[in-house]
Amino acid sequence: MRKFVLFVCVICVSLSLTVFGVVGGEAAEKKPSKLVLMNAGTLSGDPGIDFMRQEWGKKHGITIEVIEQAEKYLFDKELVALSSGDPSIDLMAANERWVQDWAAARWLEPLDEIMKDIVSYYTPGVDAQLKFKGKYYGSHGGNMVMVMYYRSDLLRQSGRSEPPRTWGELIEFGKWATKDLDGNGTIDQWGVVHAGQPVTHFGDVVYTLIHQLGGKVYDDNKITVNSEAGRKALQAIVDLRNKHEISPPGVNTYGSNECLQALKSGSAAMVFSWTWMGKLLNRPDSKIKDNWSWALIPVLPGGKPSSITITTPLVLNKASRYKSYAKDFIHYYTSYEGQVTEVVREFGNVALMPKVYEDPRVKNPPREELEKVNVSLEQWTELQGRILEAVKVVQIERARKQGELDRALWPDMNAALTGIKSVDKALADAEKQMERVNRTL
Amino acid sequence: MNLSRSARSRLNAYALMTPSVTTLALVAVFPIVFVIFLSFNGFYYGQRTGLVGIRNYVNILTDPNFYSSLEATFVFMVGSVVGQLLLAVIFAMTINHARRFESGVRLIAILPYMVSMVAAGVTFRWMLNTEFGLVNSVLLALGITKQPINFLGEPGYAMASIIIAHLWSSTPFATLILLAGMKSISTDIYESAAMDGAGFFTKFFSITVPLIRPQILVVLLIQTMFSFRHFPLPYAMTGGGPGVSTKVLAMLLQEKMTFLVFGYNSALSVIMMLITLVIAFFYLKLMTAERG
Repeated sequence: MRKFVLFVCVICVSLSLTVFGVVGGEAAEKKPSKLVLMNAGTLSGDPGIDFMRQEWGKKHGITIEVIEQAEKYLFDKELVALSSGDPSIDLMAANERWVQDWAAARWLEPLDEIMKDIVSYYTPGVDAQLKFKGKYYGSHGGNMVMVMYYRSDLLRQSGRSEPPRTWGELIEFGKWATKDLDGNGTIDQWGVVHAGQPVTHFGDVVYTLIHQLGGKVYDDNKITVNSEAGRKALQAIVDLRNKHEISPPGVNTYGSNECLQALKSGSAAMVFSWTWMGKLLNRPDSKIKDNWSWALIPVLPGGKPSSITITTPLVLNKASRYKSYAKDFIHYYTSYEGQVTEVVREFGNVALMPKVYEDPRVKNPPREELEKVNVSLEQWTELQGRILEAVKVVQIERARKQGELDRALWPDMNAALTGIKSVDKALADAEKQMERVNRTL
Repeated sequence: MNLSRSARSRLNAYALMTPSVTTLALVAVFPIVFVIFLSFNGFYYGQRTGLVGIRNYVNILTDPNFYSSLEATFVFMVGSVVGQLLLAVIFAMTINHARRFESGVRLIAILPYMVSMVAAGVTFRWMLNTEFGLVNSVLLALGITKQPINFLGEPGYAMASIIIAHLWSSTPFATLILLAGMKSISTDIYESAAMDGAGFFTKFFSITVPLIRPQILVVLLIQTMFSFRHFPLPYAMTGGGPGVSTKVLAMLLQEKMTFLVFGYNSALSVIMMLITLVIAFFYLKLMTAERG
């Protein structure tokens, strides 16, 4: 009888260990039939990752199912999945600002083993936000850089052969371009347009100018934006609207869509924005078809060229049951080879690896890729060359809780742009708010 | 066990009430009690770290953002409620008098209420755009202004624009309630007053307003509470700008929720609930006095 009881106990314990996954653990990871990726936006808008998930899927016999999540709600959705330990989403397209915080919360799986041969290709420093306590928790996938779009036809009309490279040239060309074209007493073509709303990328424009002057917004979590460089940078952009009057009065309400509208409708000579708009500008509904290009944002007096990047690094959910397969896909998509495919198949997306732009496949893309975005090889070469200029000088900020810190800073920058506060007061007030955020760390 | 008839009846009543009381406790009382509990806790990346006393409340009450948001919320609330009441009275009277086309007019009047607030907000945002907006184009074409108006980029205009969008969206609800009140007034009263020589304004102030006072109070109560907690229109139209001039309390709440600051967030929810309770208490007192 005692033996029988012992036997039953052994059976029960074995079954429990098997059911609860103690036996085997990670070593026993099974090949999945599918991986789930939460993507930032629709797949039709991300042909690069769409192509690569299919190719990787064919090679491994694993489907990568995609949840197309509107970017506005991406943070909330991913946060809920990660914080609840939900294993149903393996991979997530995140934002570089979130990676450190999520790693600190122990929601992400480290990626060091797949990053060894990726990091060496990066522009120095662009991996700063991917690391937490010395380990990598994300890998840059779909990236964009901040550039200045400009109207090449207007540039020629003004007698210039090169886009403005200095702030003085920007103001000069901007003043020339700001015009009342139909003579009704209101300006209908503006010199410079940029996002200016408190919750959009106005901050990133100002950060670029701060970087030009050798300043930083954060030194890890020390707030350094209220500096000489910070004040000069913010004042320069505020002056475009309030002093030089070459930016529209409503620019303080603009988001990305308004910037695109200003470009496509031909009502702006120059627009500071991300590179994603490029694929839409040669479409039939664009009034500036074949009459545009982009360059680095002109440099403030005493500064050096700079650009800033916004990225959607892929991160791996710690609760995923298929970590090794998920890591393999991250490597496939974010490695040198993957980034070549990304640049070729998704015009406007940027590899933060300068070497990618020397690759013959990027220099001479298949004709169908050019036709997709109605771009000639000559235009492609010029635009990719200018992107390379930006990639070489790209800088990023690094701080914990950067999303929250930015949201504490941007409304005050908007207040300065609107003229509600002076630049000095705006930055001083913002600094206090940001210190409050830092206290919660 | 022998129970008296009245005891059995009471037991039956409790038994019948139990499911609904349990449901109410689970979906209404428990979340409120839990939020109050959370408001006394600290959090680190969404994980509770323990009790912190009243630190979250102190943080809020020393945060300049809270006061600017409170001010924006009150301006929005007062503008919305007063505007809705005035417009709703006018619309309800118009519909009440439009006997022949009443059902058609009523349907048209209710249409804005069916539109999602976010969709309405985005549409208003484009319509009010300084450079590409329909409203400025019309104003310029008619010669009403010489330069476009920065509706969403100047603090005064921005708040007024959001209130107008809110009036467009929410007035139909108030109109329907007031219309129901007006429908319940017997036409005999108006006819008697007319025979006594009462004019339009006398009839309105001496008959209509006193007789629809309960409906007016209901409108005031509901719309004050809704406006106090309103989020979609400022979020979609201005993002809280310019500066923080239209950043209402609900936007501050959403922002803190996004960044997992659950302690601050819960305390802010409790403060908002207390303010709402004070407002509701005031209205309910008035309604009780009305009934008395």
